[in-house]
This record gives sequence, C-alpha cells and structure tokens, in this order.
Amino acid sequence: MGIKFKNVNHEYQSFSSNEEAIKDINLNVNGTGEFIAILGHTGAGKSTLVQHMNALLYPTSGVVNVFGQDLPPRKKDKVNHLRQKVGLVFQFPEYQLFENTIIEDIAFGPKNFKSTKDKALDNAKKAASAVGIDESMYEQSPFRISGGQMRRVAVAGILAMDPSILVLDEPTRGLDPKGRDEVMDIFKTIHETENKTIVLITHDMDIVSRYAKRVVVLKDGEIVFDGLKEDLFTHPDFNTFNLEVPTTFKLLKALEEKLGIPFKETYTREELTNYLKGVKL
Amino acid sequence: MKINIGQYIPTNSIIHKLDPRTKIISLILLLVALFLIPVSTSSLNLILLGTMFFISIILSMLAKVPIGKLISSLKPLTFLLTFTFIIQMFTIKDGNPIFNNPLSMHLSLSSIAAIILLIVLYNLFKRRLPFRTLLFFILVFLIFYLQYLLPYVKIFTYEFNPTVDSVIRGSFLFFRIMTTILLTSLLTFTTMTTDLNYGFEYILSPLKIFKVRVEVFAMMLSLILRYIPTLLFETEKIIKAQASRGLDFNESKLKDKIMQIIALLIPIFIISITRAEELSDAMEARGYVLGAKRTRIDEYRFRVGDFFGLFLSVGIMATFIVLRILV
Amino acid sequence: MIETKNLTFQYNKKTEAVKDISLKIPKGSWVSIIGHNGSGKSTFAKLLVGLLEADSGEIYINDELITKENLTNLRKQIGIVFQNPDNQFVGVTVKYDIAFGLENQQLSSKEIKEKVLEYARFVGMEEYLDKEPHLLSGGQKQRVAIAGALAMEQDIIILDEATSMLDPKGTKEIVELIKKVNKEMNKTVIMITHDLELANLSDYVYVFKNGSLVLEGNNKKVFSEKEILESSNLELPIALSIYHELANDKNIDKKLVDTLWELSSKM
Repeated sequence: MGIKFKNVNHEYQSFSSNEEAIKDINLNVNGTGEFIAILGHTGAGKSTLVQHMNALLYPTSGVVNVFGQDLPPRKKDKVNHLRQKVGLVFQFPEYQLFENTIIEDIAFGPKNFKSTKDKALDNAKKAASAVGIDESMYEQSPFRISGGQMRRVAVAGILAMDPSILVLDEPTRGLDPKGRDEVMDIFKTIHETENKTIVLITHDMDIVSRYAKRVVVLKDGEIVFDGLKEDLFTHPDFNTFNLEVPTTFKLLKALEEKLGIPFKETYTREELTNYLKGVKL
Repeated sequence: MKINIGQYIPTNSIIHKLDPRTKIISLILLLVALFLIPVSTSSLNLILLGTMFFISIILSMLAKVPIGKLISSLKPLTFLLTFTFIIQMFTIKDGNPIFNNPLSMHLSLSSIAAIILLIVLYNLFKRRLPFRTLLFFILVFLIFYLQYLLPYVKIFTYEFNPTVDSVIRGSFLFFRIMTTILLTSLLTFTTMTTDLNYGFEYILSPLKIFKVRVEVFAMMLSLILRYIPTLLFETEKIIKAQASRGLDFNESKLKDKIMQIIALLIPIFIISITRAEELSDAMEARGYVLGAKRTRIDEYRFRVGDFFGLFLSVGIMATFIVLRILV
Repeated sequence: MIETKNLTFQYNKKTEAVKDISLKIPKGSWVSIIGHNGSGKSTFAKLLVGLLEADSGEIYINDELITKENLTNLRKQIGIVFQNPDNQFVGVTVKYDIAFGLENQQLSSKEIKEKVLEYARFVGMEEYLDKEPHLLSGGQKQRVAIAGALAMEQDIIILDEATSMLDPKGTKEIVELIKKVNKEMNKTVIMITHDLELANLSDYVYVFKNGSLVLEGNNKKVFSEKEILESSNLELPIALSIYHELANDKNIDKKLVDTLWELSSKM
C-alpha cells in the first residue's frame, strides 16, 4: 500500500499564470522504506505533484490512489483522513504556527484526527523530542523562539500525526548550515528507525547525494527520470535534466583534470576524504 | 495567479488618455448632477434622467469598453434594483391605477408552499442555467403572480393596487442607479490604480490644511494594492498547510468553524506584522521620510482634452443646478 | 570607508546584541560578515544604515560621524538589501519599486525614468518593468531590490542575507550580479551571510559570534580557524573542509593539498 499515480494529468485554470501543470504521471510510492528526492527546475511541477499525494489537489484526468482510496474521490468519500497518513510539510512551515503554546500547536494535528486529548498530547511530546524541543519549552509561545526552532516546531506538528509517508517541500530552505543538518538528521533518523517513506523536494544536490536513495526528476511537468540516485548522474540524458551535480562530483572531476586522479562516484564528504587519503598521485 | 486589481481594461481610448484628476472630478460633477434631478414623474425630470443615462452610454462607447463588461458590472445590483422597484410599487399611491380593480393577493398555504418550492428550485438549478438574471426576474414575477393565483387555505390577504406613477418612479430609480454604476465603473475601467491613487491624493490635498496627511494615506493605499495579490497567495498557502494538519474545511460544527478561522487569521496576522516591521525598515533605508516631499516618476499634465472634459462636466452640472432652481 | 569604534547596542532580549565592535572597511572592497543566527550581524547592518541607534560607540562613513541629524545624508551613501524579497518590494510594479528611492531623493520625473531604465537593464529586469511582484520569482525580486539600491548611486551597499531565502538558481543570479557590481562599479560591498561559499567570494571576512567580532582576515586565514567556525555553527564548503583535513596530514601529497585550496576558491 502506498501512493499510485496512473496516467495523471493536472491542468490549471486559465487565470493562473505561474502555477505548474503535470502530465502523464505514472509513479508508485511505497508506504514504507523509501527515501525519494523529487528534483526539477522551478515550475517543473514538483509542488503540484506532491499536493496530489495528500489530496490537496485532484487530477484533472487519471487517478491517484492513496492507501487504497482513489482520487478524485466519489461523491460521498471523505479525504481528510488521508492527510494523517501522508503528512505534508510545506516550504517555510513556521508560517502555520498559531496556537498559544508550542505543545498545543504540535498537538493540533493529532487532535484533528480524532485522537483523544491525552493521546494527542502524548504524540505531541514524542514528536517534540524527535525534533529536539525540550520539555522546558512546551509552554512557551511559538512566536518567541528563533526561526530555526520555529521550523522544528512546525515539523513536529506533522510528525505528531504519525503519518506513514512524510512529504517535505524544501525543508531546509532559509536555514543556516547547522539548522540544515539538524533538520535533515531528524528525517534520516525517522526513516531509519521507523522505516517511514520520505519524499523530499529539494534543489540541493548535496542533500540528494547524502540522503536520497531514489530520485524522480520532473521536467516541464513530466517525469524524465525515476530510479536510483547512482544511476541519475551517469544517465546519458543527464544534461537535459537542468540539474547540477553534487559538489563531490564536481571536485573529483576537477581533480581528475588537474592531477589525473581517477574519478570515483562518492556521495558524501567523508567518502571523498577517505578516497583522497588513499590515492597515489 | 492573474489577479486584476481594480478592473483596468487597456483599450487606449481618449477617455483612457485623460488625466485621472479630470476623470475623478468629472465623475463627481456628473453624479451630483444626476442626483440633483428630483424623483418625480414629470416629463422634464424624466428627460433629464434619460439624458444622463444617454451620456453614460456615450462615454462608455468612447472608452471602448466591451458591452459584456458593462453588463457584468451591473449584475451585482440586480437584487437591489428589483427590491427598490417592488417597494415603489407597493408604497406609491399617486397617479392612476394600472388595473381596473385592485388585485387580491393571498399569502395562503398553497401560495407559500409554491413560493418556497420555486425558490428552492431556483437555487438548485441556477448554476446550471444560463441567463440567470432573466430567470431571477421571472422568479420575482412568479412570486407575486402565485400570490394572486392561489388563494387556497387563506392565511392573509392584501390588496395590490399599483399605479402608473409607481411604475414610472420605480423605473426612474432603476435607471438612476444604473447610471451611477456605469459612470463609476467607467472610472475604474479606464484608469490604472497608480493613476487613481494620484488623482485621489491630488483632490484630497486641500485637506492638508486640516493636518490630514493625505500623502501618507495615498502611500498606504498604494501598499495595500501592492500586497493584495501576495496576501491572497499566502492565505491559500496557509489554508493548504492547515488542511494538511487535518483542518477540515468541509465538515464542521460551529465550534470547529471558529477554530478554522483562528488557524487562518493568526498566521496571516503574524505575517502581516512581520512584514510591516521589515517593510518600514526597508522604506526608511531607502530614504522615505513620513511627510517629507517626494517627487514622482509619472508626470501628470492637464491637456486640451482635460480642459474640454472638465468644461463639459461643469457645464452639465451647472445646467442641472439652474434647471432645479428655476423649475 | 567605513569605520566603527566600540559600537555597542542591546535593545531587548529578542534583538541580537552587538558588543564593542571596532573595525575598518576600506573603500571599494568586497567584504563578508559571517556568523551564526543571532550573532549580531544583522543588528550591525542596521546600525550602519541608521535604522538603529547605538547605545555607545561611533560610526564613521567616509570620515563623517553618523548622528541622528545627518541620517538623510547617510542614506545617500549607504544602501541595503534585506533577506525577504517580498518585504522590501514597495512598488505596484517593478518600475515603481526601482523608482521609490529616487522619488524619495526628489529627483525629477525625467531623471527617475532614465535611471529606472538604466538600472533595470543592468540587473536584467528590463523586460519586467510593468510586471507585478507576485508574478516574479524570489531571485527576480531581489534583482529588483538591488537595482533600486544601485539606482540611488550610493557608494556602499550592504546585502543582509540577501540570498538566504532563494533557491540555487536565484542565488546564482544574485551572486553573478554582485560580481558584476564589484567589477564594473567601484562600490564597497558588504555581504552578510552564513553561507561560507558565498563569503569565499569576497576579499576579507569578519566573524561575529554572540555579538562580538571574534576574528577577521582574508579568506585563507579565517577559513583555517576550524574551531571558531564550528563553534559558530558555520560549515565550511566541502572543498575547503577537505583541504583543511588533508593539509595537516603529512602523508598527503602537497600537490593535492594545493590543488584543493585552488579549487576551493573557484567552486
């Protein structure tokens, strides 16, 4: 069970000039275990695509099946419950904070899904500790903390709903390097310990390189690549995807040019350092 | 999202090319003239009203505004206009009756039931049928006709005895409102918001004598116009974000509706307050000083057309004032 | 030339403090101020442009002491581009936004029109003069902001985290624009950022930490102070970080280390 896109198209109404359409989308996202990066130029359709995953948008043709339910739904069908199963974190999610205290805001999501007040609070506390929000902060106002902390509170608000699939739209945008690492580590941990599927929209090839397993590339609304990240960078059409290569690749290519060091696909700084330590000129 | 602020339609007509001050002043003068005509059934007043209506049509043609746009600017007023007309028919007793004998209208069980059925049917089907305005008129007509037709199980009966005068007066009010809307729409169709802003600032500038900071209000208005589309976008994003946390905008009890509103209002509020702080810093850093003199990128100059237009408007108003005094 | 002497400011717990900052920025240089969130960099920028008044200490712009009285004059010499592209865009369209500062300077309508066109061209937004801001990308809005600042023809321009909210494409646009500004116009550019790759493009770096200036120097010097940078939550770009790790390792060929240093300034 998970999310299945079958021949999905989504066209926008004519009065929107900078929204993205998607065409001929066929995509399967497993309900567990995946770590997928969604890549593509601005306007390629990434946001539109992921908003179909939690029923915020419906296809104009084709069907999206989310955990057994078809979208567009039939008349009587309710879709709200799907948003608990597929948790979507928008860009700059700190804008969604509104409750009086941090813990209440985190508990807002679970409360909406018919949890009892106590259970919602429990989930909220668990999520708070997963993002590094300490008990001492629970009663503080969510507006009197730093930007990075606000971001983590907002993320906790989605984690507290305990979704099976986490969809993240550029979760590190606007954060400083430490903030970026902290946030990505949260998702990495959740992925590894709870085996949740993570779908991540990003422009940062270093994040893709470091965390993603599978990559889906969109171009002008269509999927042009869907496979392992290792296969992405060596793909013959890579130059048409409008993507950068990770910094590690750039560095290795340059070292190969200047010093003849053989190119090797490495995805993290540590891998690269170790490789270079063992290299003989 | 293409959001058109105001309803500017760029057709580059001679009206478009007029200075915004001319247009605003002319609008005011013409509206004053229009409302100077007393509501009566005398031929003179009817002719005067007809003339004003005719003038507004001519101006619309000169502005090359598509007829469709003109009609749609009137549509929101259908209910008000119909209501006004009906009130006239029921309250004005001067003049000759239309019907030979007063009509007996019945609010009976049958007529009330039929009316309710009709209203329900109208609301159910109105989205699917074209010519909604026409249907609306038919609906209103039927509401009264049914009261005449169905006396079964009488609850309340009244006499309906409209006079010719009441119909004429109703039409008078109808056309007067229409002319007002047409003239006002003409202003927004032919003038860009930045120009309108300047026009209002200029015309209100005498208020500066009373320490009213007109230029500050003009800047505020300009900022509001700039931020409306952005705020709409952000509202949409907040709605989606909260929906993703389970806020269901479809199912709801009253208690939940209140929560929905709070979950939307507070984030927008916070965004706006932060924006106000940052924006004022940016404006200050760019040399803006509240109340200080500023120049403009746009130049506004009165030209021949403007003098001509103003002269005409003043002339029309003067004529109407004189007629009102003399007659 | 900008000089501050013992600049100190503490407003309330929410605003970052600045403690005893003394520095000298030479005319025409491109410098970066780096530091963690809350280290006082943005507060410092606001003090420089007169948006905040220091508790103690002095600021000299081109040898003139800044006081409350000569703020108008200050605004003619130093401009600033902020982080949020939407919260500094004043005009209803691009044209009116670039014109805003010039209208404040009371230039004539003709002069304003000329400068708006000239600087819109310089930043590559000429085609967009009549476009409304909600139709523009973040990078485009920031280009307009820079055009607005350039149009005021101030000697000094501060970029306060101007690329932090942008995607890589937008960031690239702005970086290219700044390089162009630095090359073609003899302006002093102060870049405030937490992105060390960006800071690496400038000639000289100041490191702020908890309100104090803890380190300054050229890139090579500053980026080798690993402990200071790490304790400031700053992350060296990959090339530089590998360079530092290998530079101290005796087993690594010097040629490799040198090449890594060379590459780190290009990437």
